[in-house]
Amino acid sequence: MREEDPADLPTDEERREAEALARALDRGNAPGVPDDALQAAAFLRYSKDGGALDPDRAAALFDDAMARARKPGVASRKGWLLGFLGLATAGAATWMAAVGLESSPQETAGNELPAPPAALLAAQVEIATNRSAPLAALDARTDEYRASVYAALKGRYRP
Amino acid sequence: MIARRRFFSFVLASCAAVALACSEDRGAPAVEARNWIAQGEAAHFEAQQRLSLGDIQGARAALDSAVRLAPPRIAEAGDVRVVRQDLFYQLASLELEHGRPEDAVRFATEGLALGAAEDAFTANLQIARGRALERTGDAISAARDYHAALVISEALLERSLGHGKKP
Repeated sequence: MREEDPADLPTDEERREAEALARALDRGNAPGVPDDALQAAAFLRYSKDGGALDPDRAAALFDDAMARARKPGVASRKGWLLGFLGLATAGAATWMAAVGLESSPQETAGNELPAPPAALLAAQVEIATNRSAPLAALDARTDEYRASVYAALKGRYRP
Repeated sequence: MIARRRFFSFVLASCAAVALACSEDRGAPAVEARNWIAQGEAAHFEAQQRLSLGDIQGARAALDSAVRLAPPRIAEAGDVRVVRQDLFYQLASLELEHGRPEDAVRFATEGLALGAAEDAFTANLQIARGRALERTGDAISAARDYHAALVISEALLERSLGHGKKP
């Protein structure tokens, strides 16, 4: 028996191309086949039987193609679901941003000041009705009230 | 499918960025408004401190510069009025105490021009102007101011007792 020259053995790449070509001859197409080889395969196939396909072979190819095909319905439903979720999230984010802006201090226009203490109101009445009452008494009562008013005002402008 | 996921990740990231930008936009002016209010409050403390040291001019300057500070746009008009009327009251009171009723009338009038509300600060200004007008000899105008202040004080008292209507 004659020893085979290793140089005569097909390389891995040649094997792959041959397999792809065999598949192309069988199915009419195959990925990774060079264009010229595919044209040659098509020519050989056509010259053999004029491109006619055996009915059994056609049925087998159809079943194989159907088995490999992605189910478009499921993919589409997933797509719609993701789209809906994306839109809902975008809407929620926009709404939150809008609500955040609306809750800026302009909204607090209706907020009341802390109620003035009775001592301040009494001092006001006293000074408005008694010309000898010193204004310093009103200053002192206003100082006491001022702290709570300014705390409330600053509280309206929290960042 | 991967491209679609990338697209939705991009949409979500964009929304988050917009929301963050909006919250930052809101935060900075709010801090500005708080600082403006705090400056008004600080002016009262500074004026009192200077008065206790006998520095009348320094007290007047502290209050006057605070009342002239432009409020930030975000500050609500009612809040601006309260802070400024309180500063004008303090200025009018200071002028009255140091024998300058004309200046007291001027400051009180400037404060009241900011608007009248049914609160203690408007009432204070009317009382201060009434007292200053009395000193200048305008008793009728003084009585008018005292009466306006009494109407407010009475309403506030009624409200504190739960009898009055809310403004």
